[in-house]
Amino acid sequence: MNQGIRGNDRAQRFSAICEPLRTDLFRFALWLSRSRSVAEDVVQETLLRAWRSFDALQDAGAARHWLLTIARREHARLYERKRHETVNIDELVSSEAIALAARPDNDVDADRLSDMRRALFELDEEYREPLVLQVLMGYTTEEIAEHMSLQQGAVLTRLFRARNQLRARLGLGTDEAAVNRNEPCQ
Amino acid sequence: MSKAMQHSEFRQLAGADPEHLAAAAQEHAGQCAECAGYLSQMRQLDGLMKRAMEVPAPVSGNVTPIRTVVLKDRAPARVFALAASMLLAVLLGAGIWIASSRDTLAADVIVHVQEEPDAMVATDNRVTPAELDDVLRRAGVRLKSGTQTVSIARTCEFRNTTIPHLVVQTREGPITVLVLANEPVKSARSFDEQGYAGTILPSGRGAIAIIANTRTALDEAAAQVAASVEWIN
Repeated sequence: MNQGIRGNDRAQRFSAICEPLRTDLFRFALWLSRSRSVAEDVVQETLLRAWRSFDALQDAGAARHWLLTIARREHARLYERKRHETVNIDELVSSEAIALAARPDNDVDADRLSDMRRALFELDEEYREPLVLQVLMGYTTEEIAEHMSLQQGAVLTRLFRARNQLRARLGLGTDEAAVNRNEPCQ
Repeated sequence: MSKAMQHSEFRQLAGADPEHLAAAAQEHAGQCAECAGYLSQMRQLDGLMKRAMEVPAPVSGNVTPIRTVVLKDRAPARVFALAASMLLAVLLGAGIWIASSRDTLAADVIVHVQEEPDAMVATDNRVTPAELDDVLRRAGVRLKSGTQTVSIARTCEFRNTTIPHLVVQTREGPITVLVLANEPVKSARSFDEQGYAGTILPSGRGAIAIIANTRTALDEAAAQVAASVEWIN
């Protein structure tokens, strides 16, 4: 009986902490995998794994970072499995990009949003992931470095290159010329 | 008087983190119209990016393990059904990999690392020589080189024995080193599974398992780590 009550308390606490983070978790998984179905699998596996090790989470405030870390690992694991199943990831990604970009937005910027999503889909994962963590999840570059097991300098370089590539894909030019000029600001 | 900031320097800072500019960069943006314009473009780009990333998530309910697990506490008969289904799922998931790797030692190594995800993070923390020595001595080994790159040194249970578990910080990220005194192997074997790159090397009377998040990190550190392990009894 007591065990049942404890179990319910645990479930309620898990739900209270993790449910509000589900949207963040899904979006992170989606931009990592570029596939809605893979993202849903990642969320499922992440929550299952989180539930199993929930007692190890001491600080509820750290739950978001904890879940995203698990999701990153689960994505790598699922991606590996997909590869073994000989799914053509490129075809999957292409179709998902079109489906996602074609999603109607009640927004005057719908075209620009579609273009941006396509451009994001085309970024390499090494550039896309830190960008998503920074822009969508609000991570600092230090937190991104910890999450991706990189030096902070490497993160800054990737973020700069990511934005540069996005600008190029969106036809906004790049900063190569300015960066190579090395002129003092006036 | 500080040196004037250059376009390139400012753009690299603003292009990497436009919302968190250092005071010096903010000051320069206030003095340079071109750089201020660039910063404004970056912030607009980020605003559009954030809106583009905020795609709708599926409604709650079809991807949750929570409701299922709650049943465990209410209906004892379902405990077995749930446990069986979870076990089956775990076995199926693990089976795919184990069958492909055909290497149960490597599988156990990966499982062990997965159970301690907090260990594989880049950090400036370092263990003291005394802490490292204490952990390694129990397994009858020591490191020839110093402790300057070891961030974690602890003992863990692995296949019913206690083993040293180290995390070493490299330029390419952290790597995990497991000293497996009771797991003799005849030859080196490498694996790339479940997001990890790993290698198990014969060493002394047992083996050393080295696992990294990337093959680059592994390649850089594996030989060096293996060469620095010295068996003392």
